[in-house]
Amino acid sequence: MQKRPKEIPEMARCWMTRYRAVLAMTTSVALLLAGCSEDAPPPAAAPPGNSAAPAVVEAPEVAVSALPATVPPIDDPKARLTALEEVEEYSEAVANNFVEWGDKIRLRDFHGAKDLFTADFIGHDLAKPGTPTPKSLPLGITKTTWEVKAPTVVNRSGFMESWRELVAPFGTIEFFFVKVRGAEFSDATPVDGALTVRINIVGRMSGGGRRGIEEFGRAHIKKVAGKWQIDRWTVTSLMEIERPESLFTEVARSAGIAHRGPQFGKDGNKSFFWNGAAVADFDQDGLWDIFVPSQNENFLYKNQGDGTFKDVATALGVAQPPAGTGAAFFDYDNDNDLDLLVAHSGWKEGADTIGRTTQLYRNDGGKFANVSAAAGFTELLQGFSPCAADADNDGDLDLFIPGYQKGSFAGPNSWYDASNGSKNAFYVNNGNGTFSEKSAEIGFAANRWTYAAAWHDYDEDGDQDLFVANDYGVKEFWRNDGELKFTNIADEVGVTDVGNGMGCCFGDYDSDGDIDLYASNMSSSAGNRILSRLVKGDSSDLREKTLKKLAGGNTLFNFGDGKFTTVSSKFGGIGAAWAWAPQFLDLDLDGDLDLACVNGFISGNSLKDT
Amino acid sequence: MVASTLDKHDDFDTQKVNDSSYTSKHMTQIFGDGFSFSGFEKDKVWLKMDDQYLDVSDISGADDEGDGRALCVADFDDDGDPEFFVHNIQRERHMLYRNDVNRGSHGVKVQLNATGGPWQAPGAIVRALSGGRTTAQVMTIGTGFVSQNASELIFGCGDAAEAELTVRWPGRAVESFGSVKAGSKVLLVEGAGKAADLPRKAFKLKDPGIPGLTLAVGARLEKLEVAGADGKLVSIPIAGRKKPLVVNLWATYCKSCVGEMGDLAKLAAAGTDVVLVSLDGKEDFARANELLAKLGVKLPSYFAADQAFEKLLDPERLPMPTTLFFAADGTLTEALQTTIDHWSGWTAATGGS
Repeated sequence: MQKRPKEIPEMARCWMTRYRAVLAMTTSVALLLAGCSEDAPPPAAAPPGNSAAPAVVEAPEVAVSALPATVPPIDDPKARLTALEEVEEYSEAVANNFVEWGDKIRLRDFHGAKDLFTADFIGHDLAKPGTPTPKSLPLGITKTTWEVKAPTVVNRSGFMESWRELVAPFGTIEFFFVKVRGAEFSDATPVDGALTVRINIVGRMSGGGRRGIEEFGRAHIKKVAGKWQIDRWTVTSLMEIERPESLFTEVARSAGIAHRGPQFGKDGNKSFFWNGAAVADFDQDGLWDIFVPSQNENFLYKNQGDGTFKDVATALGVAQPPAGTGAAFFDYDNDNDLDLLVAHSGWKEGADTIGRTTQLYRNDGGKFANVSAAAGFTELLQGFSPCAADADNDGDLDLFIPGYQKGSFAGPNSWYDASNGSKNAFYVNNGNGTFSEKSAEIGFAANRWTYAAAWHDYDEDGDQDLFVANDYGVKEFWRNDGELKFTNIADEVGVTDVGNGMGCCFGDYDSDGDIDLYASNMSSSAGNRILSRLVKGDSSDLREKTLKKLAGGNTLFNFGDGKFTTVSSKFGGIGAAWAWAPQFLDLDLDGDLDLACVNGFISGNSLKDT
Repeated sequence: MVASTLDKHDDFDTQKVNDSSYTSKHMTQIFGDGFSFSGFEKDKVWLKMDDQYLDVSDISGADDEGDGRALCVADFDDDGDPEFFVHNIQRERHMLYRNDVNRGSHGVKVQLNATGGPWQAPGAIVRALSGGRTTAQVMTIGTGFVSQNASELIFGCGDAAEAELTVRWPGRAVESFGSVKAGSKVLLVEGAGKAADLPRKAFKLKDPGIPGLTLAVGARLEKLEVAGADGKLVSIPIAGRKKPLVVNLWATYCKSCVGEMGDLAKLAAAGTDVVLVSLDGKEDFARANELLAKLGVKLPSYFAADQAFEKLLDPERLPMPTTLFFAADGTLTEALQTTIDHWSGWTAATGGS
């Protein structure tokens, strides 16, 4: 029963990721590279002869008795294809091959799945690559790591059996993916290549419990009769993790707050904006409620204290106008109740106004009154993640609203130092129900592409400092020097963190009593592949420090002695992928702060990625 | 960059790509066409253990692939541990993750009320000394990405019985609030020097529906359309029967399913109507029947037929084995998502054998 959406005809084409644009800039080719063929690779400039390869009559499988004792190591080709865009076209084709093929494994069609491998294939047994060492961890978690030692060598049939065995403990496979983490191809005809691959399988075990498998390996791939096939596979590492029950259960539907929207890109959902949420006890009944901006009307989910929520947005006057980005409950008028501010994206296109200005709803005894214009929110911004603090220590709450791109989509003028975004806004609370926007005077307004920010008095000198996460560039850390004077000391305190900044949160990850920092940065497999090739053998600052960092993912900073030091590498694996909101939370109440981070840009109908 | 159907009837050139309005339409169209761009990436959860962060996403139950954007932390059911809410960009947009670690009263929940500045006290640094370690957190109004957490900081105490709390109020001094017991929910009022207990309203966030099953317990089903061994549709009446019906959903690759076939045969032998429906693909019909024959199981055996079954269940989310219990009038009375010997009616139905 195939449930995955069908592939889209004519869509197997490539899309140049932002990484490719970096590649284009740094290799002095066109900003955005030439398109791909109708059906993905080979690219226009592919080495000749690939598609004209003669049909091959399939040979018999290697007899078990004829299998060698070991699989020869899979090294990168000696004569490597160096044209980066061509290498990436091949990489993408191979990666997408794994997507279609993965469906067969997920559905346990091992007979169909064998076609990815040549008849003369030899490889390691995936399920038993050596000696397992199970380790019991807190919370009933068992983590088993395998020492890869003298793995059994199998032929193609044996390899497919090892796939069957690998997934056998799963009653239901919820997630199966093989990602190409690295790829190098030969500059020869027919082309062949060496891949670094990561297998991830997640699901429910037969009889209950959750299980995840992560297995790394190397694969040798070649093009046979116009089709990519693998003839060797070695296992590098295998790790399994399981628990009798999941740590969390998703309960939105039973809680009455489920909301199903159109697929992104379809009518009714073509905006990157309205994806925020704000939690507060707006009615001060001791329970946490949720405000969620949405396209046609906003939701205000009142926690009813019985396991369910009720949408009271219309009744209380915050359902309209819709389509805000982030939101914040804060008592702007110091009357001891929570008012609601909703950031919006708005701009002018000729005489037309697209979107709208920031909206402020004053809490008037339980109902909300829209006081946006009267309070001074009349400017169109590309606002995203509002955050409030008493920045001038005058007893009322001021507001920072990060600004992202300018107008409708226009590309950044640099992939690592963009300065053509829209302004960040800083609203100083006048203490009389109105605000004054003072970002230009302070210096906050610089046009970086800012998605998020967070206030924290890092030096504990009594005033609130501001960390600012920027996409396509470096981050900022504004030290509050008093009297609304701020100085950007990001370099000085070690948090420039060049990359695609998406979000940030402060917390004490090592329980040493001071506040550390976690910044989410966009990262992708394609980006890692391309940028690792770009920096190979080049130690220039631009390549080594900047470009490599662009694909590095999330950053964890330890605070000490007045500075922040990157400790991400100590915790390999906290990088996420296309990361958005990160948060610290002690989910198991053991005293350590754990981490969560949401992930993923756009999942379409096709599992194939651009 | 020929990616979207915008280009189908138009020549592509880089000049166009540099035109922002074109790029905007093109970007939108790419996704309208259904393409993925860093899609199907699961949300991540890391558990801090000793000096390491362990990636527990795979076992978290909070590893949704749904393109999340906002993430807000709060103890929504007031039971002492943190839940979180996620806003996705499409499809199932609102996700609420109930914390099922259930560590009970091992934490301290802290709310603030400043008197020397704004009462919400954003920027206040709260420190909890517990079990010999001091953990610090910052009160915020807006953090993460387009997200606001609840204004309640949750400090785990581990096995310690209490936590000693201090607050550095924004722009002002550090104030000590002494020790509070693990399991407390307290309000720290600036200047009070002592924590005030807040009332707990703990309740249970309701269990979700049955994973992968569209039909709710209590709903009625008239008939079940499945396929026979020859692939032809067969309609099994569910409503209007003389006695209840047990429908077991299984697959050859599910070890537990195969392992409980003997028990299902035993149940049938004791007088219960039992029907097997395999979720194997069409290609494996024969293999499934061969397996049943080998096991000596002679129960009515059918196969899932795509269209009819898609209305009833999502096989990708359905744990196996799943056994459905229908009353004679077609009402789904129970959906058991483990082996049949765990069924509460097992002893009565089989005479305890």
